[in-house]
Amino acid sequence: MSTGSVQDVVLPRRGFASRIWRVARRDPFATAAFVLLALLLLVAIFPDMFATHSPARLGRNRLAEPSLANLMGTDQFGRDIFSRCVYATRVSLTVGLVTVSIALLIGVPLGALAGLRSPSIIDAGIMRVMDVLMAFPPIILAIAVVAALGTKDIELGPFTIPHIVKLLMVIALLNVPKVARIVRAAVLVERNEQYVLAERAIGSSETRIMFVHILRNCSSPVVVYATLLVASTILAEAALSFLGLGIQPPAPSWGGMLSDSRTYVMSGEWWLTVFPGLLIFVTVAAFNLAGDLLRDMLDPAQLSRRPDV
Amino acid sequence: MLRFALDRLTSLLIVLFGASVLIFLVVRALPGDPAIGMLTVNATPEMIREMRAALGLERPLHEQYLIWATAAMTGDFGRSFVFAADVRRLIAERFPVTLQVASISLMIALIIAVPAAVVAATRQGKLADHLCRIIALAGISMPVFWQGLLMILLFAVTLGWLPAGGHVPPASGLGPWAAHVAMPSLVLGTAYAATVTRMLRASMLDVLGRDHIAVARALGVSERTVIWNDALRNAMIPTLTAAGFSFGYLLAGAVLTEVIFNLPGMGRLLFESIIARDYPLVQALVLLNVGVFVLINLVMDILYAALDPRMRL
Repeated sequence: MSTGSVQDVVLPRRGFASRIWRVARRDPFATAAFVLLALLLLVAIFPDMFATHSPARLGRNRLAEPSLANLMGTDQFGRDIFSRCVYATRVSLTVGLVTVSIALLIGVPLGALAGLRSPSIIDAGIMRVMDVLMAFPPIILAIAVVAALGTKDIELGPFTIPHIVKLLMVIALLNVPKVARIVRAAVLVERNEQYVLAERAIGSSETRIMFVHILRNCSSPVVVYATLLVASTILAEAALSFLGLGIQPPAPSWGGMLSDSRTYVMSGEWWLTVFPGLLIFVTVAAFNLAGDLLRDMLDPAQLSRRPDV
Repeated sequence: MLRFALDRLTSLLIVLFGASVLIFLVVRALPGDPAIGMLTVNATPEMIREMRAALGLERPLHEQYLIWATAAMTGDFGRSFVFAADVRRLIAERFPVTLQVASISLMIALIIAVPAAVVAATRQGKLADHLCRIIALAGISMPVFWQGLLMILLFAVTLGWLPAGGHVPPASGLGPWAAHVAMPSLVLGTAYAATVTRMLRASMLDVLGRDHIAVARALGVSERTVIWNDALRNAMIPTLTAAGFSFGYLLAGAVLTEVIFNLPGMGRLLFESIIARDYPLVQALVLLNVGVFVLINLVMDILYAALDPRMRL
């Protein structure tokens, strides 16, 4: 594999926007994903612009099929499903983005340190702690911790810790070991590559080798994994809400709406099941697609293999 | 190789020890006093203290842990509060159901994932690759509980082909058994297949661009050998890490699918026991889950070493 520094010289420098355009033109799916993510972000920031009803308003028209008045029908309390889905977008996106950011901030330095110092007592220490945390299937640990902490807000002196913050912390901490392990595995492979030896031979500092070269070459698996994580975190929140441990009713959440819909699956009220799930599916798919596009942009080795970029 | 395996075995024991301490503490942190739960509402503080003493809850924490851990090592996990039965018997009843569904899912996943990833990576940018990518992407983006509900809507409610949930043991007829196992296995298997396909495709592409592949091709090694031997072997390394991770999701997915399909497996038992604060049952189930998960990771690590000698260093 060729080195980062050599490519800086060979590849002509282009603006970020023009690079996005070039990659996007080649991959219409990824473009669609970015447009979708932008739309979802808009919905999350300005839900009242999109919602046709108040998400909490009860109506007399219960379990109504989708119509022009209620685009996705109504639920067992006559609430408009479309508007509830719109408001639930904000919760899901917040949980996904915030938890993964926290996980990266802690996990990347830990994994990189372990990888660089391997084998040593530091590496062994970090990884054993990660192993212990990793040994718990994620949802199961989340269920246990949320059950231990309860689903109510916690009063801590003058501060109130809302349930959603607990949820964010729990899911973020569950993701740290995964990030650390992926980073360590990537660093272990990269640090034996010839370009690292070459950098060392010309007298580059360990810090420079770490941050400029090794981490950049590891960024591909980390970015791919981080987007997978945003996606799987949104899924995890939905699963917890589905089990009644995540976002608490009457606040709208996709998982909670699906949980309510279980009562009506056998009697044929399909819209209760189909739409909230579809939104989870589309959002998660958009994040995964966007991750693919980012990988194409971030990995210089892959770009150089394509003559048209 | 033997030394490496022994080394990993030692760290497995450390992990199991750490996990057991953590489980013990998290379970103790669950709100509510099991002694109060076992007594009537008008129990005096005196009676509660006696009950706590009888349950061993008055002893110092480390003594409680030692008593539990020593008993657990002999396979004695105590009695469930809620089901009023030996924990061992409860698990023995529920385990086969989860095992059946998990192993069928795993088979479904591998049958789909390995060929799909190889086809996609070797035909990068072609129609086959795009199709594989879209389908795999849909697979990893699908919430298992939604997929489960949709399948119930389609196969059970609309078409009436399969039962919506429940379980019958294989002993009472293979047909009914397969009908009950089909939907949960498909839900879990396709989800797992999607994850493995994506990871394997990405790392196959990475490996195919490396120098040693170009050298092998230049030396005239057949394309078949290059792809299935040189590339796939190297590509399996990062994939194994991911596969180990996502097996955890398979176990976690068992909680969701068993709740949706009403399967009497370990996943639903665990969910019910956590909600009911059934300490002995929660401890045993989580420890067992962790044990299985750690064992799989050990196997992964040894496979890792077998595939890439550098890892043994």
